[in-house]
Amino acid sequence: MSWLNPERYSLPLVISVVLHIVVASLFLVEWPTEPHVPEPVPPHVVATVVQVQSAAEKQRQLEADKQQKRKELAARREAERKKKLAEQKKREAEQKKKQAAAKKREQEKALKEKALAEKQAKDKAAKEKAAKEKAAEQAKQKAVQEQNLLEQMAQEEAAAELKEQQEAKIQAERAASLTLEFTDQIKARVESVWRYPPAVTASQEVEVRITLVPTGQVLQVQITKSSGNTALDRSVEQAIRKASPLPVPKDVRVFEANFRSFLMKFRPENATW
Amino acid sequence: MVKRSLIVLMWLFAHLVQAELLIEVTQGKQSAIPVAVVPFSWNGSSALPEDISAIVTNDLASSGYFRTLGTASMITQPHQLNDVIYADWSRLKQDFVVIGTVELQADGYAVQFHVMDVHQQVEILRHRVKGKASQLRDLAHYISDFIFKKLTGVPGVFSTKLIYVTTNRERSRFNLNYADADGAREQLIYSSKHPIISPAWSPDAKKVAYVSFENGRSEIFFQELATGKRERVVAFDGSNSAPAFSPDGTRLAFVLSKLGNPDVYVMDLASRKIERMTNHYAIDTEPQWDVDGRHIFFTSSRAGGPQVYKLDTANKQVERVTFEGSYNARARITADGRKLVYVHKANDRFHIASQDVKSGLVHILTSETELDESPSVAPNGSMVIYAASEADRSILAAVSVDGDVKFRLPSKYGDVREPAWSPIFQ
Repeated sequence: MSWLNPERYSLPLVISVVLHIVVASLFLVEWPTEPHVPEPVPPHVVATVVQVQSAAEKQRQLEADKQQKRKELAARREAERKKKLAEQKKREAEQKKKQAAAKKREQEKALKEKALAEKQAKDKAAKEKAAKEKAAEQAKQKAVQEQNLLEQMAQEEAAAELKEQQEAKIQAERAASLTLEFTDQIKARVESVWRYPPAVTASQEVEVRITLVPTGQVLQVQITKSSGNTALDRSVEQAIRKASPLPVPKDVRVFEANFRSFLMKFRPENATW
Repeated sequence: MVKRSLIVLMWLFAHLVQAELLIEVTQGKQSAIPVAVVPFSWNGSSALPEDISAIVTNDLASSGYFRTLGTASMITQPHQLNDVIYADWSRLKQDFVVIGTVELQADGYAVQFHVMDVHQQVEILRHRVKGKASQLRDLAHYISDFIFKKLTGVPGVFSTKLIYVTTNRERSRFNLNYADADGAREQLIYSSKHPIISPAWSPDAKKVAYVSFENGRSEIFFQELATGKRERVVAFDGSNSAPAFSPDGTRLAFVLSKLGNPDVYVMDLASRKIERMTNHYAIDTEPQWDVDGRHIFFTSSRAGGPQVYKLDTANKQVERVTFEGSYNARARITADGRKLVYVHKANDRFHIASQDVKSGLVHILTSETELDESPSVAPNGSMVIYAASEADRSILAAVSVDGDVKFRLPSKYGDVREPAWSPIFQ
């Protein structure tokens, strides 16, 4: 997960790009506006003040006036009522019309919205589907890739293991042959200087532990099993000291494995005196 | 990861359980040990009556087991431990260095000596011995024995003695002599105008047995060395010869020939009773006890020529031991019972041969001398002394049991024959 690596700014970069895209898309996408509906105007009444004449006359007149006036008023009222009604009607019609328009508009808008929504949903679905498919594809690919990677790793590991084994085998064989070679050399060298004392028997045996430094120089000779004949034991110790430095392999691993410390057995099998 | 660590673990484990390297060495050199005896310092104004370090050098060199370094080859001649430069002696290919000092004290001489291991660079022996002026030679031999024992694991025989018979040219005088193992300090212990033969040591080294003809026939006498007291022990009718003490000193094997046919007999020395061991028409002679005190080696002509046989004194069973050549006689066994030394005839010449008892392998030790006879083995088995002919004279010669070192013992008087090497003095 390298992109999580805080030193590489991958995450902030991705975040900033996404933010920019979102902000830019805000300018492109129209927000759905709310349809403006006007408030219905309330019908208001206009009242007129009338002057009264002579009583009779006035009365009559008044009456007539009244009558007239009543008529007129009635007519006016009627007219007014009619007018009002008409206005009302008109208003209502207008209102209706308006409402219808609004409704229509609304319907349209709803339709539009619906369509949009549908479209959006569709798009979204499509997108989602695509994304899903893509994701699935990606997942599949990833799975395949992972599979491949795993297989590759397994192969590599197997190869490495095989190589390691082969190398180990080669190394072991080399170590074995080196060990054999230097064992012979050490044996020959020590034999060439081992002078054992008289009166020893072929069955007498001295076992020593020898400690070397990597140059072959003898660090320590320790009798681990005495022959019981101190002169014979000493001859062995002397032989090893005389033979120092002993031939040892230059390969440090082989040296450490076999020649840092090892055992030697001495038997004077060619003793005749 | 797991796999890898497993492999590493297995590898480590494999290395851990792997058998440790073991190198076997079975062939070494069986040769004289190089040793440098540095002349001992001496604080006196006049020369010492005996050169102690020279005697030690000679002892070691003549033993057959040592090769000594000439003083001229020495880079330094230290007398003190701190003055020893090991690297020098290592360069001179020496295995051991002996240094010492001789001091004159009120009651005699004091010798202090050290033996150093050149290769391990350590002192392995330090000793101080004292003695009077007359004992300087003994002191030197004692030091040699000490060094010999330390370096070989075998007791030294430089303090041992020899007895042998000398005769004048006219064969009118026969002397039984006693001397140091190196031939020095010869003493006469018995003299006769009649032949003396077959001297033999008792195991305690206090007396010798020998055959004397002083009474007109061969009889066996014992003589105490300290007092010179003689005793006629075996004097049966016929010829009494070839005495040999059993290892415990209680019995004497000898040859008795009553009617001209020699056979081996054994006498119990306490009761003086004898028992016939062989009964054969052939000659049976020269008995010699095996180290077990039960068996007796002897020479018999029962197969025609002389050969060495082995007799079991318990059941009188006889078994032939030598098979190489037509003549093998006068067998002597080494103290460890591992080697039989006898006179062996090869190419019409008589030589001393050694035979490995276990393997039967025969090794001819002498070649330069002629008519080799009468071998006697040093009590530590290192050397064989024998008589040989040289320019019409009989002399004593010695050879190491590996045949490498040979030397002659000086003789002052006529023919020297029949040497017998003493046991180690306790």
